[in-house]
Amino acid sequence: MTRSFRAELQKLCRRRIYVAAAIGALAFALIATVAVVLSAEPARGGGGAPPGRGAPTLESLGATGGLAESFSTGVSFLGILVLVLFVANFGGEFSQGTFRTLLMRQPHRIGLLAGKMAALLLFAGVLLALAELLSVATSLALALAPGQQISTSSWLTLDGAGEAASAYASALLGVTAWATLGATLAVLLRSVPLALGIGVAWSGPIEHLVSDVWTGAAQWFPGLLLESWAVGGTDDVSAAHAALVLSLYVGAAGALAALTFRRRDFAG
Amino acid sequence: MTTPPPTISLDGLSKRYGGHVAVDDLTIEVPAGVVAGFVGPNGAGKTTTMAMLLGLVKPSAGSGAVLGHSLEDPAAYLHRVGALIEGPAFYPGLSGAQNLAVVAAAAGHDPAQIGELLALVGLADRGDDRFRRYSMGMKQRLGIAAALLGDPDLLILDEPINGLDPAGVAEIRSLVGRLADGRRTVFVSSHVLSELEQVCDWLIVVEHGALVFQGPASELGRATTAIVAVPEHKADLPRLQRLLHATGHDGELAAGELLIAVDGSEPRRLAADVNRAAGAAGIVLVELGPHKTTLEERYLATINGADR
Repeated sequence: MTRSFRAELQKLCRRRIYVAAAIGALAFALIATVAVVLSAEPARGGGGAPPGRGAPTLESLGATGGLAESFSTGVSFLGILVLVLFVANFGGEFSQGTFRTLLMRQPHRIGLLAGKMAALLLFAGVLLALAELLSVATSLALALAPGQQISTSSWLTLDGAGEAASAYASALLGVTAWATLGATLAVLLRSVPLALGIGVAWSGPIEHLVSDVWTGAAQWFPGLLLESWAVGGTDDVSAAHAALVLSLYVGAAGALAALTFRRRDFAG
Repeated sequence: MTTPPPTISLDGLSKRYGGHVAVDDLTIEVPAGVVAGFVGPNGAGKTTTMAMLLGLVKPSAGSGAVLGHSLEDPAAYLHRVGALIEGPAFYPGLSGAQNLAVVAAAAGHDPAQIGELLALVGLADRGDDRFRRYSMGMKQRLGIAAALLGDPDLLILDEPINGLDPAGVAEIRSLVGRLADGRRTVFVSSHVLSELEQVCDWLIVVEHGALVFQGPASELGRATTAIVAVPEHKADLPRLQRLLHATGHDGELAAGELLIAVDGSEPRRLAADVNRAAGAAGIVLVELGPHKTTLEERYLATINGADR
């Protein structure tokens, strides 16, 4: 696993990748933060606070979690992108034949898969941290700009830091789930176009269409559960329920991918 | 002095995909330190056999050992094996050197040897170019460089000459010849024997997944299958053919000579019969002896014999 982890890092630790990742993180932070902060309006009265995170308001941005709210809101739209990237990465290893090249040197198949996944998730984790830092910096700059009505008094406190750390952990867990589902699809189907087609179609239109006619869909379908998780829970699905069912999905998907990868022939 | 154990030994190895038998009860041995050619037509099961040696494909039946370790435990020997199978497979966006670094990391080998290996395969000045920009010959050479990482005891090369132009073929053949230093065993496959003829000292011929021949290359189809008779005057050829036909021997006219199939006769006795018949008819023979064939001709004869 360690060798496979290092091999994957060899691919990732290149200037071209660093530059692309930094530009992506910066673009994400700027777009998400500017959109959230500039579109925030005062909360409308009536009713108690809904579960999870609703649309950002001046009040929610002024709370302890406001510092990372733009980041969390932006990350909630990244799920499909993560799925696509992991399908492309793992599927590409099949279509290019590079899994074969690596397996001739690293025959512990589950270790190879786990090491690769760990390296990619580490990279994703670093990228998320960078994106959150940039988003926080942009939020501060925007909130402190003249004419803004967002209170920043609770942002730079221990509670504010805790909320930011919690937002990061939540985002990382969401990315891990999307990544595992994407990698599993790629391992099962060995075809980037097929895995992408099925993954995107299922977690996008199909789940939403089914949820229109079956109310239970939001509680059991992975794509909808991940959407609920990304916003901290909804009226229909609590964050705890989403986390529990998603961990079962991730565990099952990981086991299925590992078993398939272990038994598969890679040539001939 | 004891003989070293074979580098590869397979016993009844088979691979089936549904109803299709890709490798059929294959029992072979590759002695240590030789360049072994693994030859057979396309679809004969060469790649599948090599893939089973490399732990990429699980055998349906049979057993085997590589470098003294069972095929069931490829981790025990793969660190001493370098291979190129089903063509060079690398990351197109990475340079040749970066690709080798990835493979070295996966294998746990020292990346310091990458420059030396690139130089060995003639890619020293192209190591920083992206793999996708390489020509077919350069890709094959990079594949061989990757196989050489860690200075393996066994090198397995699957059709390394496939898709190359004549210059590329000569280049790779020369490289394979240089890699065979007597210490390392090279197991190289091709569907065209003539591509390996000059570098192989051991041959394994397969067809339809089954063994047709194994042994020293010089032994392939060594038995005399025909004798050749050349009369002093070409005009005597048809007459000689008729004379031999009358004595029960079929001869085939070919470019100023008569090829007489041995067909179970003792070659020397047949030669004596031909000489006697020619002399009696006043035909002077300027050449009479066993028909010399190239290894390729003997290979084709062996394959055709197996087909029948």
